[in-house]
Amino acid sequence: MYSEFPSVKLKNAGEGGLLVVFDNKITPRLYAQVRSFVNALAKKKLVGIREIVPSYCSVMVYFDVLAVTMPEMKTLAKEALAEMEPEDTQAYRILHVPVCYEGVLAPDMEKVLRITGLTKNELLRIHTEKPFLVYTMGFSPGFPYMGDLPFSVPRLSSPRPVIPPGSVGLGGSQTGIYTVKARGEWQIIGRTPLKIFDHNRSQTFLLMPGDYVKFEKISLAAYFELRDQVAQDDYIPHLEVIEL
Amino acid sequence: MITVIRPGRFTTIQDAGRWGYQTWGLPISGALDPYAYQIANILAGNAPGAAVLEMTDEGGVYHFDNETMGAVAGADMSLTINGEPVENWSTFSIPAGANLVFGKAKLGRRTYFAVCGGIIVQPILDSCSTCVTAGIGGIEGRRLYVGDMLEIGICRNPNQKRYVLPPKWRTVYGHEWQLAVTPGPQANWFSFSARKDFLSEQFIISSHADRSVCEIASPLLDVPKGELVSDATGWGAIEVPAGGQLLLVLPDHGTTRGFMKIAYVIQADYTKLAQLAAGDKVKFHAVTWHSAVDAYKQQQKTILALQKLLKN
Repeated sequence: MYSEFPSVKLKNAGEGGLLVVFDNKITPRLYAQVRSFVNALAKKKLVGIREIVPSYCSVMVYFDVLAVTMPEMKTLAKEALAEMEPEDTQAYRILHVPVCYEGVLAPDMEKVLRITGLTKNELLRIHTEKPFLVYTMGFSPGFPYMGDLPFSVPRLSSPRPVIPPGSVGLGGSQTGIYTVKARGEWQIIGRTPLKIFDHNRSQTFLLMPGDYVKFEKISLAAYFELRDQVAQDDYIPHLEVIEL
Repeated sequence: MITVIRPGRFTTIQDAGRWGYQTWGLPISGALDPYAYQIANILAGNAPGAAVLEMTDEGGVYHFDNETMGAVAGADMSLTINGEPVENWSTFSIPAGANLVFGKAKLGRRTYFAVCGGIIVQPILDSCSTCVTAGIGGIEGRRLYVGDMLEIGICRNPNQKRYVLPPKWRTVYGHEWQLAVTPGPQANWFSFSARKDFLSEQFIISSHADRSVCEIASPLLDVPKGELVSDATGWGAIEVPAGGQLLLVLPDHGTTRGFMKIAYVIQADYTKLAQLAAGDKVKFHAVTWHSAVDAYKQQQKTILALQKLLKN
């Protein structure tokens, strides 16, 4: 019921945008509500919705003002809030992402170990032990923002002009994967041979918000082998679906 | 075939945009001035979503192998064909072997050139729009270079009336602009005096402006305390980062961002938003949701009226 979410706010964002705000925090539990709301809204299939864009703790609905009015959109959002399924009943996907944490592929590794006081084994254990939730995507197409690390690292004081795609970085208490050649200020601790975003592939994006990523440590030799397989379209990413 | 003799300062292939992928962090892209874009296509006898050239500040030189028809709308770049001046916001014939020369924008920044049949490139995720930051769309996901060859679609009605758009239907350009806004999702985070300053001050456009964001140099706005967790940020949003320097959001902007949004520019004023040049002055005034939608409907009516006019 809408009344179960007294803190939810419906905010105008331009005449063709409605922002449904659950809170102003980053927690997996809040994110589950975001996901559940997106599912409930998507089921309604109202003509005029152009796009539904979730973020950490809010959901934007872009709509065509020639087809729907803001009051109609707000009513629809309230209905969807009332019809939200409990958040722990949703299936989710885990993408297994091989990462090489060695040498030139991990230019900021030493610095990160110094900052955090962790040994390399400890850092890798934290990074590969449990799957990370993809809260949102942005910065560049398909770049997954994943939480939640038990430590925080500062960004680079001046951004690196070019970060190769596949680079795995740490920023604050989040981790992410660069998907296109970009300028960036996250600390790079490894690289995956997978292409998370590839517009030449029928499956353009390997991930979407709400998915989980399980990093898996590979050797430098395995990195190059997998990279060649990916280049030849000869690698099937390991995507696990968890039904509840 | 069109050959790019000189690409101008920043020319890209654009259409109505790549909607549907913002969840994955892909910006919508598309023509920054949707009004001038649509007018150019109708004047050229094209379907509404055809791909055109969007030129910024200075347009460049383009060579045409075959006889065809085209249209130009947006900022006036003093177009000439084989040395003969062509009126802005009009349809014109292009003889075989012609050179189209676009100069510098006198006022405003962006000009749309539509060729009859549209420019043909491989659509990526349902759109031909170039998104330079993602490296997709148009020609190899980049701006045009010297020597690029652009394929033209089939012109279905080469005998369509050559038409000059009446001035009352054209966007009015100048160095001082008025933009209508509605309150943004974090408007109530700002102090009363900051909101008052926002609606009363005259702001100066900085020289930092691309297809993602148009920066305002001064004055600065008082920024409220507190941090915003990133939320979805759409076209027309007015972001206020920690320094208080306003950022006007354009269609290549990242899809989510952690800046507070004090307001949104109304859709009917996107046609002005795309044209703000360095040093221009801008004032914001608040309107209701209803008058914002009315203004947009009015603009769409003009587009439909023009479409009908040219069909007869």
